[in-house]
Amino acid sequence: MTQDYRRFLRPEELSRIDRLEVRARHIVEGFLSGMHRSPYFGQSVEFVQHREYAPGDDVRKIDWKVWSKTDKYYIKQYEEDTNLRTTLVVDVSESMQFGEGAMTKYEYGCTIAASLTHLLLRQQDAVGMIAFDENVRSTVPTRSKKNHIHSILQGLSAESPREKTDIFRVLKHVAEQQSRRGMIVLISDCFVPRDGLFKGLKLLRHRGHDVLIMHVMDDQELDFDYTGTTRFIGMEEMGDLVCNPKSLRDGYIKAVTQFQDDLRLHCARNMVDFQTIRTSEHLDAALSHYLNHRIGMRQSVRN
Amino acid sequence: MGWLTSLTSFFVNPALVLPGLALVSSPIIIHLINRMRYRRVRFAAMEFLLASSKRNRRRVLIEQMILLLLRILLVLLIMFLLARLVLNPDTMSLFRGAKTHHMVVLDDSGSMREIIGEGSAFREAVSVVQKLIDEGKQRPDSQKLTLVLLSNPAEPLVNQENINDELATRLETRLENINCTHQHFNLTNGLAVAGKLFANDTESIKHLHVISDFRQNDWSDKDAIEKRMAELKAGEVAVNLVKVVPKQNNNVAITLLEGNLRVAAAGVPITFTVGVTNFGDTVIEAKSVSVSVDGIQINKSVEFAEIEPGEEQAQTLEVAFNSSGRHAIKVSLDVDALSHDNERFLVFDLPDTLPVLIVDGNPGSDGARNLADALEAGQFAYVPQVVDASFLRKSPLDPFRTIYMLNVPTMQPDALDRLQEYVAGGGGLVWFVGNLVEDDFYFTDLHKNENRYGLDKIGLFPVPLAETPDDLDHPEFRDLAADVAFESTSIFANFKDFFRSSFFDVIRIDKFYPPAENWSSDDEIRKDGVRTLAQLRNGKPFCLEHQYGKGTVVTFLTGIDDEWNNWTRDPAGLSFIVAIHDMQKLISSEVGELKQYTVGTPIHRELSLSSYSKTVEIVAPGMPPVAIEASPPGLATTDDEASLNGSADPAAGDDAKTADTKTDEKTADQDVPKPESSGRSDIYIADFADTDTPGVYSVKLTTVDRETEETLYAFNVPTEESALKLATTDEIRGTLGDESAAQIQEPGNFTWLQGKEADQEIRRFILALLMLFLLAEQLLSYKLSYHPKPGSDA
Repeated sequence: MTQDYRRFLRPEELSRIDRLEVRARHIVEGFLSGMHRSPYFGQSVEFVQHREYAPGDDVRKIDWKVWSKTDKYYIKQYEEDTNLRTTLVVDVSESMQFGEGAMTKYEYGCTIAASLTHLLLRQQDAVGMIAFDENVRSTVPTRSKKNHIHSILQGLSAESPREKTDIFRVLKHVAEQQSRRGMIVLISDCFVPRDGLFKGLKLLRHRGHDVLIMHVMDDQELDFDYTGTTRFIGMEEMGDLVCNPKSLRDGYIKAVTQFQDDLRLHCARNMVDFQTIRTSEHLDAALSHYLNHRIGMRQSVRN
Repeated sequence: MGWLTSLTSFFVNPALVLPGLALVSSPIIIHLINRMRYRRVRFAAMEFLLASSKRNRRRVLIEQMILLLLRILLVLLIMFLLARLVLNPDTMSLFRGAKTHHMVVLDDSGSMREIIGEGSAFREAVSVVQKLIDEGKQRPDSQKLTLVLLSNPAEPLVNQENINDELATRLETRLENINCTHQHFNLTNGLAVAGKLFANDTESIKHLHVISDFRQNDWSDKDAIEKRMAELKAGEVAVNLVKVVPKQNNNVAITLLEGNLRVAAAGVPITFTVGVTNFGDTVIEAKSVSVSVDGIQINKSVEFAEIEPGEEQAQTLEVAFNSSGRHAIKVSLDVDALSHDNERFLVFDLPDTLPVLIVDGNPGSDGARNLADALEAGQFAYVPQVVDASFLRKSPLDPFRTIYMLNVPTMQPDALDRLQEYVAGGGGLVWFVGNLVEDDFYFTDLHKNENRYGLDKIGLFPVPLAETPDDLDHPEFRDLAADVAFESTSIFANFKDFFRSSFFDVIRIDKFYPPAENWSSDDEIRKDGVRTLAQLRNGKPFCLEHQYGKGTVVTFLTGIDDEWNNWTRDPAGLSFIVAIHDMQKLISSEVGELKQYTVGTPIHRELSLSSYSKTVEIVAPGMPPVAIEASPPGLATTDDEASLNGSADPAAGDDAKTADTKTDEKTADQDVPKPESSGRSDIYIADFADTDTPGVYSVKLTTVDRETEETLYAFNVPTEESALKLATTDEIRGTLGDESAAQIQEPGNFTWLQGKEADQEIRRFILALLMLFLLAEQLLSYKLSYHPKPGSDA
């Protein structure tokens, strides 16, 4: 059992990710100075701007030189490097158990989570993890210790995926837990009621989190390559269906595309990063593609 | 399973129909198996799958059904192609299926000689047989042939031989050499024999082809044909009636030629009757029948002005022959569609004289002399011989044509026996009563005597006589009523016409013998076979006629001398002479027997070796003389006859009698000696069966003294075969009965033979349809299946 979780740390994949830099797109609040630009204005060498004093501001930040010249109170704001607080929200529901390829979605998702954890911990960033299905199944607090990865991996492997996904409750729980703004990485197949998902994402964004969705899908779920009469036994009590998959393929692809388009559209509206990842894709390629894409996508935004 | 039988009749290869139908279920079974044998997959994205299923359910169902239907149709169409569907089973070839036994009954009766185009109906029929063989040999050794001639169904020309090139070559010349007979055969015999031959074959598909002209005559016996057809049907024989005559031709035939030879003798004109029948549909005008005597055409002809359709008209012809002995007469018409019935032959033996015996019970009386004078009058060749009653006991009576019994009181029993034998054998007998007649003898021995031949109820004398003669009371002055009133009967018909009433008036009857009191003079009441030919004025019979065996007896209830009447004296004497001669023509025994036979009847001669040599020479018309050896009775077999005939065609040499008899009966006949010749060991028999050609046959016997005795036989065609009226298809169907499933092929239509092409048209259509369906199936199944784009999704 102790060695079991290590299966998510596939050495060759992790070594390749090693060369990449995980950069937060948003400025994340953190305690440690580092490579990341802090979303908070604190003590730093790099001045950013002046802002008019408002009651409640720390009087220590008032730039007296400006006051002496203008007789007005301005405070100085500096850009500050900080630690990235990343929370991995991993779907371990029954539907994630599906997988026709080498890995199930669950395994793939856990591998992503492990890889990210490893990467972030190496950069001294803090990583937390929440595994969920119908409810939150396990919670691993956000830490930046090197050996924190073991706690996270244990939290992942300890769960035997089952039951139905109820994501809103989970995301609400995440939002409540993570009082400090950070990065929320949702690893899921998103086979959940769309309303709950969108509501949860909106909530997270509202709290200022940088949200990233790793939409894990199996090849068969996307391509629906089944042939011959097949009895599809629905996971999560979705019922059974005997059919000739060929004849339903077009309709199915259409429905899945519609589903993905919905997600993508909604995520774009809410400034949520959304990426569909096939379980057949190389893990590192998927990650590097995503992270590179993320770096170049937007400039930092300050509140 | 009747539907299956009727279904298979639409296919050239019916054996493939059942497996084909079974295969139709294969797409359904595959579909069902696919439905039952499915893979189980636990699937997460059921939401989308269910949505797709919900949206596409109806479309998917319809598409699947169409695909299934297409596949079923494909299998069906392939089955149609392989089993070779034919829309109209009538056009189907008979050469299908596995082992097929074709039996051909070839009609070679006289009517098949009808001229059609450049050939005859029979040649046409033979060509149909050849076509059948040509068609059959394309599938060598899967078809068997039995070829039966209607003239000799018991011995098929070909018996259950495989149709192949070897048989075709062998039959080609043989079929060309078969000649159509002139005879009449019963079609039902052919059908019966075919049924028997088929009964031995239990393995093959059986086809009976009756190739005939199908005249109405052949189809008159509905019951028999219906019965035979039912038997064939029970034996699972498919009957195929093949007509070879396309349309009916008019035909005129000589159907009658007879002569009155009772009083014929050399130098005496003989009356021949020539009958011509119009078998056509239109009125025949101005037909002339030419006449040949002993092979030389004479300057006489018989003219027929107008003959209605279906009518037989008879005309008389008088020909006198100068010499006695054998003569042949031939009458002939112009050639028409059926030529052999335009001739008719008659042969006869003409005597020098006609001996007549006059037995006088009162020798020396005038009556016998008057009668003899009357007989010798005119051009006739009568030679009367007047004798007393004892002559009957001593001398043979056969040479005499007629015996007159004048006033014979009584006879010895042996004389009576011989007289009875003579009359029963065909001799003519005339009674004149007289004073000496003993009524007891006449009643007991002559009238009542149950003759020993068991032929008649009445003996030689027709009436019981009263005890004494009676006087006919003459009125002082004659009124219009004559003493004798002659009936318009056969004997006195001409007589009455000729003499009119004035000649009767002069006949005066003085005395007569009345019949017994209780004897009714009304023929209709008695009904004893005695006809009253003449009555007296008082209603009593004067002249009576009755048959005794083959002979005719005429009785005058009066005497022949002056005491009884004035008939033999002038002025009534003339009528007496005419009456006697007319009577002679009708009652004389026929010594010059008319030798007129129907073709095909074998010539059967018995000869005594003590008088003749065994070699018999026979000259058939148009043929060189053939010598045959007579053989002892019981040894004469068909094979011997055939070899003796010298005929080139063994089949034609068979005893024609067997055409209408069954095989087993024929075999039995060979072992049993002929009854008439069983008693004498030196009696040999010569049979000549090859008498199919109509004409005069000469049979020459050589006596031990090396002298030749020639007998002529006239063979004529049967009149049945002259009626060319064709039976229509409906009539044939009507005769066959409702139950019969026989096919009837119209003349010139050979699609039933060339059935291999019958499915050509539909085959192309099916092929096109098959291609179309294949394409549709491929398109549909391509559409319904998933095909990844090349290069995508590595």
